[in-house]
Amino acid sequence: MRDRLPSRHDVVQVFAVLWFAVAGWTFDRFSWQFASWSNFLDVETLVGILAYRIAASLLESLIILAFLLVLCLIFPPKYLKENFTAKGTIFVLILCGSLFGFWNLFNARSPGVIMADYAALWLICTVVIALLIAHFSVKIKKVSAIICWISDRMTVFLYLLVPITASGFVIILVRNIF
Amino acid sequence: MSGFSRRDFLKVASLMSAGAFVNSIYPSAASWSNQSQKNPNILILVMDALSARNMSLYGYVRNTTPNIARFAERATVYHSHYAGGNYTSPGTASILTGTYPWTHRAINMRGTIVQSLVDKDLFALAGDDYHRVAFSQNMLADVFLRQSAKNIEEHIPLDSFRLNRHPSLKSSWFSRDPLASYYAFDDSTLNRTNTSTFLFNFLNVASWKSIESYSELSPEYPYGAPFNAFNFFDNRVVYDALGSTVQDLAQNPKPFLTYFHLYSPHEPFSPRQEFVGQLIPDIPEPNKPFHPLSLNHFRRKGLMPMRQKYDEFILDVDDNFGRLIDQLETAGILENTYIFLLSDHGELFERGEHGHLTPLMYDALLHIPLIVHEPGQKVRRDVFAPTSNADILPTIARILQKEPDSALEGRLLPGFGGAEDLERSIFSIEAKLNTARLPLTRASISMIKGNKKLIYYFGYKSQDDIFELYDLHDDLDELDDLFLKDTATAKRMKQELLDSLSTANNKIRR
Repeated sequence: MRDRLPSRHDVVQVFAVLWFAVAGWTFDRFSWQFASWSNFLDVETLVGILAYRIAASLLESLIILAFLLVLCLIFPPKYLKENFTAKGTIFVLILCGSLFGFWNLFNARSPGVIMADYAALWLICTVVIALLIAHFSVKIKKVSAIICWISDRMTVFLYLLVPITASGFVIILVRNIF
Repeated sequence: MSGFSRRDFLKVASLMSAGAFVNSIYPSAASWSNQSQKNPNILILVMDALSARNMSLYGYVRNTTPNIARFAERATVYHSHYAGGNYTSPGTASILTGTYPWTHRAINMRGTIVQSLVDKDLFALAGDDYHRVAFSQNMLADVFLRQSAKNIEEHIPLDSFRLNRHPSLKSSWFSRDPLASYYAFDDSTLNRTNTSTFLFNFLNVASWKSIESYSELSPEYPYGAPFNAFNFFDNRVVYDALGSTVQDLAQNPKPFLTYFHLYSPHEPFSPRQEFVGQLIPDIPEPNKPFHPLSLNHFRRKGLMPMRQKYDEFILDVDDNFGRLIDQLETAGILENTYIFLLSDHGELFERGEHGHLTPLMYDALLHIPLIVHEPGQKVRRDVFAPTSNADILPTIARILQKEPDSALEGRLLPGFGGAEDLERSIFSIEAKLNTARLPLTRASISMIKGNKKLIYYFGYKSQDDIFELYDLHDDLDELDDLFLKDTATAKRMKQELLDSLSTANNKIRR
């Protein structure tokens, strides 16, 4: 089974991109709402909110990564495991974009809430399309090299996100125990 | 099995859960019957967005409230009762704190009450002498209950009595941190309309059945089942469950103080089929011009059908209220219970506006019902002097024989120790564009004094330092602005309003 999984180094690089995207979106939305919340919430509550949201972003990133690794186990190595950094990065970015697009359509006046009934179909189509794009795009060497370069650079953000998230978990524990 | 539909199951399940909830509070409730010797119970029922202008009890031409009128025959009816603000946060906070929005500072959308007042709110006032139970179907009001968690013994979750299968609130996982977890999850991360995640929100949306999927309810709810932005619900189930809850609470030797904040008749207006088309289809209504601060510019032709649906929804709510009161009367609870029926704000269908999220301060938005039943009351009393939702807390303090905070802006209601003061000034404030911690710089303030009403709009780009003056006795539709005609009254009221605003702003500066 281990033969079908990518190396830890590759996994960390893909995870760095994924977590950066999810946490970045989290921070962006927090700062957007902060303008409103800061009108009436105290600093303690605001820190608590941020802690919950950072923890949620880590959890979300881990679930998506786990899903990707399960796909690695299912598919033959040539589809995902080989050149995993590039393929995995493309896959998670397409997946996040698609999930965001689905939410936008859900909130649109049309088709609106009816979208909820097509969630499973949307997800299946997204996974298939993301796998195909990931598989074929890395055949272009330049694309593969650029994606790998970006993933490699993104790992630096782990040094920032790990301590922030650890602090977030501590804050959540304190708020829910004491 | 064919005679027992999914809807029947949901009703029974909701009632059972309410019963189980109360039984968990009182394991030996049946053995505690000692009604006659305990202090009176207090039941506060807030019907969200119920305008007195649309209630037949207060003279509306459509017969929207026959059951509330029946209840009023043994209660005190306040004819000039006003909300503290024109939407839920400021309006509800005035009920709970006995102060105006410029003091309690719950002025922002999803805003909170200043902590020093939470410690002296309605629930804190009642103290341990009373069993305090609270339920709100409106999230903006539920925030205040979360703030006051330590003062409330039982906070019935907002998503109780829902029709949708999945619970909608994730903050319930963090019961020890109700406020921050609400803002972190239900107000954002897992909010279907305001997300901050990719996967979680996708799963959240995916679990959401479309409105069309509630088709089994459609014959009864032609406009869809009532919806409070988090859950679908059936008012019959909600009112029955609350009636059962109150009956169980009445078995307790400790008196109860309950605060029920029910979402209907708030938009979306969803009357049951049996109430659709039951009211006069068209009624005369003056064509009022658009206000410069009107945000929507709805045409009158479009507003009238909305008002028709709103009226039908009020009729539906009134029917449920009638059943609740009958249930409580049969159980003998009216003999030992004060019942406060009121609203947090009204609803507007004029001047291009629809709803209540507006800077405007016209009568339909602020004039709300207040009907108070005293234990054993058999005859009706009518009070015409102006009163405010800020008066609820001092009045309840009097009933509880507790000393309220001296800084309260509300007074005792006439009939409960207060004088009928026709010249008293009543304020309503809309200031959601301000920072709660700073003096008000952009807001709408209404001041009612006798028959006159002064509205002050300030800080808006298009309307800065604008006053309007109306005579509510001769011109209830507020069409004839007297500010430049009755200059003596205008000058006097303007000075009082500006002085009051200055005092409130100075308190914040300090």
